Amino acid sequence: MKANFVKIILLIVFFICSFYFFEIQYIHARQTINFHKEKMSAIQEQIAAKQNEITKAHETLDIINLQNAKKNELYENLEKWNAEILTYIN
Amino acid sequence: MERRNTNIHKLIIYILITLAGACFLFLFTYQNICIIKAKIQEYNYNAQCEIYNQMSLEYDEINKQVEDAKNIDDRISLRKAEYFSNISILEQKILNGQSNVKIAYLTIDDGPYRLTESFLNVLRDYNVRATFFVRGFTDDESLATYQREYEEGHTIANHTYSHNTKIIYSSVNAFMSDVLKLQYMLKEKIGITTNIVRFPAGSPAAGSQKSAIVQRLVQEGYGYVDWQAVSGDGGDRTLTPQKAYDNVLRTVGDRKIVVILIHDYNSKTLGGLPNIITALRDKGYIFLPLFKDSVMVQKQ
Repeated sequence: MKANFVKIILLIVFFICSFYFFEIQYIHARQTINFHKEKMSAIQEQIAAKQNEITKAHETLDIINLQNAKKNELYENLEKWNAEILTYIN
Repeated sequence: MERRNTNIHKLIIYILITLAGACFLFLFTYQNICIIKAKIQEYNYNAQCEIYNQMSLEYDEINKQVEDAKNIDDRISLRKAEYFSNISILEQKILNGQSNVKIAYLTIDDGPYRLTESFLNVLRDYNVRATFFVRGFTDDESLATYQREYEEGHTIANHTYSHNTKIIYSSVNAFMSDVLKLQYMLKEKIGITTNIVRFPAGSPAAGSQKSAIVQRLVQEGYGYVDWQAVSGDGGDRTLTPQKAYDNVLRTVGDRKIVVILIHDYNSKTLGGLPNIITALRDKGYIFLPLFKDSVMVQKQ
């Protein structure tokens, strides 16, 4: 009878310890999930903002390139003309 | 009775063990699910961070391109400086007899006019860079012409704002204010700075004031240039394209480096221009735009 009582006590202790151990693990996992959930929504907002910035920068670049099309051509031509002069020098 | 109690105790213990095992299994599974969820969340978050970093790099790269695009004028200036520096070396080689090439600096005075666009078309078609000694006009058409001259690689030089010889040769200050007026206008409207002047009607027209004007021009960072060859389109009403051609070929002679003067208001010169270019090329000339450090630009 005594032995059975001890076994029951040990079982209860084991049960409590296990529960306590799992609870700690569970809380930690939940905290990690919540932490990343918050971070995730923040990073997604940042990604959306960055995407907007990239789109705007692309638009700006396109506008400038359109305005500077002739100047860009001049820049390329100058390299060609310079190469021609170098052939006369050498 | 005692045996029955023992069996009941055993049964209770088995039930408790089973319950504890079930609880253990449930908690173990649930906890692991949470941990896996957390790991997936962490992995996704890191992946998003990686995407964000890639986007930041892309954004920086585009911004760099935008900055480069905005600085196109500076980059053109640097490339022009290199180009002119090499022409300068070529000039020295030619003068020292180390090169058989000859240089023709085609200078086109007094514009922009309506005909200037046609001159530009011929120069473009024949792949010639020239020098335009311009006057000051602020109408849209003229501004577009200045812009085209610059964008097609020609040198834009200063021929005074008004080109009114009575006014500009009345005093050194009158001349300089006319030169600087054109300089400021071109800087403001087109974004270019001139550093070569041609005196309207040539530097001798300045008479006794020439040396004082030259001194002021040099102080303002200018050189000046006259010419050795002409098409004769300045006042000859009997000029024909053939006559313009003959005049240029005759006055160019056999010079190693020559500055040719024509005017972009004259349709006869325009008519003769393709033949002039072809004939001079056949004689070994290459056409280049003038620059301040050229041996043909005087600084004193």
